[in-house]
Formats: sequence, structure tokens, C-alpha cells
Amino acid sequence: MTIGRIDTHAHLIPDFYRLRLLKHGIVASGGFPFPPWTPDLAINFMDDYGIQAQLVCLSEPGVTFVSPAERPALAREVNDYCSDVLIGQYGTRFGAYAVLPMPDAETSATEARRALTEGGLDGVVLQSSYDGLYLGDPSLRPLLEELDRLGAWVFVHPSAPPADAKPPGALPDFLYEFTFDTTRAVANLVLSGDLRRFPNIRWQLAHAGGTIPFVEDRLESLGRKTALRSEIAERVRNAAHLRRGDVRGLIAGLYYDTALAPSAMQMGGVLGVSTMSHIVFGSDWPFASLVYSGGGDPQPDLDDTFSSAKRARVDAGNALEQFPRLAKRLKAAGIS
Amino acid sequence: MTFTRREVLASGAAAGAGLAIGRVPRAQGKKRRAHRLDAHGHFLPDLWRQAAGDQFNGYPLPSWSRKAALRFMRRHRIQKQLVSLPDPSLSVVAAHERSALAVACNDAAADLVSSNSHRFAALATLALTDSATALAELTRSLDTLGLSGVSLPTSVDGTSLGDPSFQPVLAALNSRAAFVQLHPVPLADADKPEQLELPDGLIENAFEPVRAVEALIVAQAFTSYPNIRWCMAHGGGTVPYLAWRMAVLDQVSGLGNLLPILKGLTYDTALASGPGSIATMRALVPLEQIALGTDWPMTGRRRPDGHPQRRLRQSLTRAELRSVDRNLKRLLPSIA
Repeated sequence: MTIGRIDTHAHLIPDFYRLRLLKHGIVASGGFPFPPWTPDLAINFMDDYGIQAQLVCLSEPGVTFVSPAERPALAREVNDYCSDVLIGQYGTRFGAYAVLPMPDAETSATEARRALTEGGLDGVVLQSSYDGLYLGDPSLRPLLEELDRLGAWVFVHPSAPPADAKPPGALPDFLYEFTFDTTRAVANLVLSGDLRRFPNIRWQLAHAGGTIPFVEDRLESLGRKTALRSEIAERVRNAAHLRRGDVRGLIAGLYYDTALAPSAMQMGGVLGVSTMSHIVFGSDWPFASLVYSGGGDPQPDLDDTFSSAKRARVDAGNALEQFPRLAKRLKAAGIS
Repeated sequence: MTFTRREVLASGAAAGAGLAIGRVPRAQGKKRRAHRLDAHGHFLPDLWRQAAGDQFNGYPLPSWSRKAALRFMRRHRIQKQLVSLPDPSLSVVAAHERSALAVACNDAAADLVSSNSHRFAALATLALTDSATALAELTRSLDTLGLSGVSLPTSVDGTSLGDPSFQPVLAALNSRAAFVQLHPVPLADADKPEQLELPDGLIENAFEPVRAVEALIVAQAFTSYPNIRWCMAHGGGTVPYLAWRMAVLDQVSGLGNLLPILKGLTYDTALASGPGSIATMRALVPLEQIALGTDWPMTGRRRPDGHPQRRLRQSLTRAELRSVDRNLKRLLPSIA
């Protein structure tokens, strides 16, 4: 049996978590109502679209909506659900990225280690920002140190700035504000030096990087010895670490998922700044379920960019190289 | 055998032979005529500069003079530059002073153009909050001053361009089939994340055109005013990268199909000349709809001689580059 697709961008909404959200009056993520979810519903979706396995994670708000004291326990509960139920009982259909009790770096580092080493999860998910605190912030360095030690796969999933930190607008965040926030997080990770400081972390960017390939020109200007850079040096600490060509290399080394991003514009943009081996299939199911109907090929637009051989790499091959535990489980079950 | 002067020149032998016939002919291939059309330059008239102060967007304001601009154009073989006021535009003064500032700046633009009409063209600035005054100034700018079109901001004091209050101006622009540059403006501190170490204009203004386009879609402005010749500054910010996402999600939200509209616009290459941006734009529009834009002097970097945007050479053949260099003329035939 050939592995059709590995879905690197999918979400879980277990019942106990949904109830907890409801208790706090939360019914939507980024303005999009939480859709139905069960392992069986996910498996049905996967079967309809030739997806062998999904690597699932919580969308925003993660576990940030409970009090800081409660976050570690809720994170553990979700991650244990992933290892015991999803991986434990449906190991050839699911992997998972651990949620962490952010933005506390120390407790998050502890849970990351636990979930990845004892829990057998495949990576961690981090939001682009936590109530205005962006990845790349110095306070998060202890966490990144741990993730670097673990050689972890880190999925950067968007959140949105709080209402008082964006223009007033009628349209919900998930439409495009999400993509801006992913972009801000990556820009901050570049500028702060964290991408260079922690080279063993493998970063997956949701939705083909938000808008990163299109603004790479702007970020790259930071890396050149230019009047521009010296002008902003006062505002930017640690600007000295940016050297010519550095920024381009850092952007090229990230991973870009295809969720809501399979078009020739987005894939062409990624190929302009990185390579095909850095592109991994993602569905954003169940939040993006409106764009999936009927079954078959979940992203036929990918054919505008990729030959069928390259498509196979994007759909499954590239991911399988990055997730050895999942690959091992599939091999053990005779699926390859 | 004797030759007439005309015969020698016609044969092209004069240059090679170094014959002095009247004027010394130019060496072949060393000094080609300036041919590039810059769709996106800026001018900083003294009276505006006095109002603006020393910095904008987190950067010191660059210096500008007509002589410096001509030097820049000579160095990069730019035949003509289409200029407008820089980003903060009229918001460098209080609201009640903006109409007067607009008049003064448009007069300064007309002076610049008439001082050297082979080298400069200019876009008018309008104080949009007062429709009646803006309409009068639009008429004066285009009919009396002979300016080439208008530069519109993505928002005014936080109110998006799609707001009903701006419809009379859009209607007037439509009835004139005016050339309109859509240019982002800095956001108020309250309308963007503050904790980032990023200079305001580096990333944030890449998002504003997306918000403006969405607002114009909701207002049905593109379909109501189809004669406006839009030129999207900075490659449209991030519009081309998000085009598919916007189209799909807008469609499921009942906002109709946005893609044909975006495919009909022209995009300039200012801050969008990298291989990622170019690949994305080319997947959206034909090459003819991508126009050279330098954003000079706002990017504040002295470039080596040759093409003002060297990164374009990574993505385009020489013939394609020559096309981009002159594509402004397709949207604005009066430019040259």
C-alpha cells in the first residue's frame, strides 16, 4: 500500500477541551466557530481524501484561556489524550504536536520534554503570538533552548493580535489577519536572532508561511550592510548578527505547509525563496472543511506547480522524512 | 573612393573608426539611452518636510532634491519617474490643515513636473475626509495642473478606503478613468502590535493593502468603478500572495469571486523585487502588469550602478526585465 498523503496541518477538538472552552464562553477560533470533531470524523475525512495520517494540534487559543496556574495541567491532559488515544489507539492515522502552557517558558520547556520524550508526540505547536507577545521574544529563549536540545519540530500556527492592537474591521481574523501574524512571528524570529541561535529546531509555518515568501525582500534588506539597517539598529537589539545572505538562508530553511495555500501564487512564492523539499501538505481540517467537498484530491491546485513525482514528495515524502516515529508505526503496520 | 558624411554614419563605421565627423560619436554599448519608467518614486517638497519633521515609520526621513533625483535616475538609466508624497502623506498635519497642504503639495508637484517634464510625472494627493474639497482639488490637479493621476492611501485616520464616505471620490476617479496608485500608510499605534522590535514600515504596511482591497470588495468598489486604472504599490503589499486564500474564503463568505479583479490590476516592484515576490506576481498576472517601482528615496539605500533593482535579474530574463522596466506605459500611456 502506498502512502497517499501525510497531513501536517490539522486540528483536534476533543470533547473535554470543547467543554472547557465553553465554560469560558469561547465558541470560535480566530472568529471561526469550532466545528465538530471526533477521531472517527477525522478518519472519515482522511479516507475521503487519500490521507494516511494527520499530525493534529490545538488551534488558538490553545490552553491560554485558562488561568496560568491551570495551563500546565490542561496542556498535559490534551497531550496525554494525543498519546494515549490518538497515537495509542489509531497509531497509523494520527501523530500530534504538543500544546504547551504558553507563554511561560519554563513550564512549557518541561511539558515539551515530557510530551516529546515520554509521550511520543511528533512535535510542538506554538502560536505566532500570545496576546501581543511574539515568538522571538527574549523571555521565550529558555523554551527554544530546550526545543533546540530536543531537535524538535515546531509548528508555528497563527493567532491574532488582541482587538486593541489591530485596526477596527468587520471581517474575522481567520480570513487574513492570521497570515499577517504568522509573518510577524517569523520576522521577529529572524530579527531577534533566534532562528540562527537555535539551528536544531525545524520550523513549520502554517499556510505557506502566511505571507513570508512575498516579504522576503523586505526582510532580506535587513541582512545587507545598508543605511537602512544602521538606521534601525537603535531600535533593534542584536541587529549585528544579521549578515549578508543570512536572512535568505534562514527563510529557505523553514518548512511551509499547503493549508489554504496550494495555489501557483503561493507555491511559486515558496519555491522562489526555498525548495520543494521544504513544502509539506496540510489541510487545516476541520476549520477549512468548507473548501473540501466530495473527496478525491484535497488540493488539485497543487498540480499547477508540481509534477506527479514532486507532488508525491509534497503530499507525503517530505513529511515522512521529518516524522520518524510516525514513519516507523506505518512501516510496522506494513504501510509504506 | 569618397564617402559622403551620411554614408559613413549610416554604415556605422564612424564609431569603430573613431572618425571625428562633427561631434565625437559615443562609444557603442557604453551609454545607452535612459529607458526605464519608475512607477513608484517619492518627492519631499520643503513645505511638506517642514510639517513632517525628522522621521516617519521608525526611520529618519531621507533627504530629497530635484538634483538628487535626477542623479539617481541618470545612474540607473531611468527615463522618467512617477512621484508622489511619501507614506504619512497629509497626516503630518492636523485634519483641518490637510486640504491646504494638499493644494500646496500638488502645486509643488506641478512645479517639479514643469521644471523637467521629460523626467518627472506626478500623482496628486487629496485630503479625502472632506469630499467636496477633495473633488475640487482632483479636478484642479488633473485639469489645471496636468498631474498624471492620484495616489490614494489604504486608509485615512484608521478609516479604510472602502468606507462609504470615500465613494464620491472613487466615482469621480472612475468617470475620469483615472490612474490611481494604492499606497499603504502608517497605522496609529493603537492599530498595530506594539511589542515587536520591527520598524513600523518594514512589515506592517505590507498588510494594509490586503485590508483595503477586502474593504473595497465589500463596498463593491471594483465593480462599481471599473474604469479606475489601479496600480498597486509595493506589489500590492501581500495581495498577490493571499489572492487565492482571499478568493476562496470570500466566496464561501458570500463576497463573490475576487480573483478576476486581482488579475486585472497592475503591481509595481518596489520592495517586491525578490524571487518569491516575482514568482507570485507572475502566477497571478501577465508580465505586462508588473511595472518597475523603486520607492526611491524611501528605502534609503545607495545602490550600485546598473539596474535599480538587481534582485529582478535573478528572476527575469533580459527581455522580461526590459518589459518590466517599461510596463508603466501600458497603464499610463501619457507617461512617455
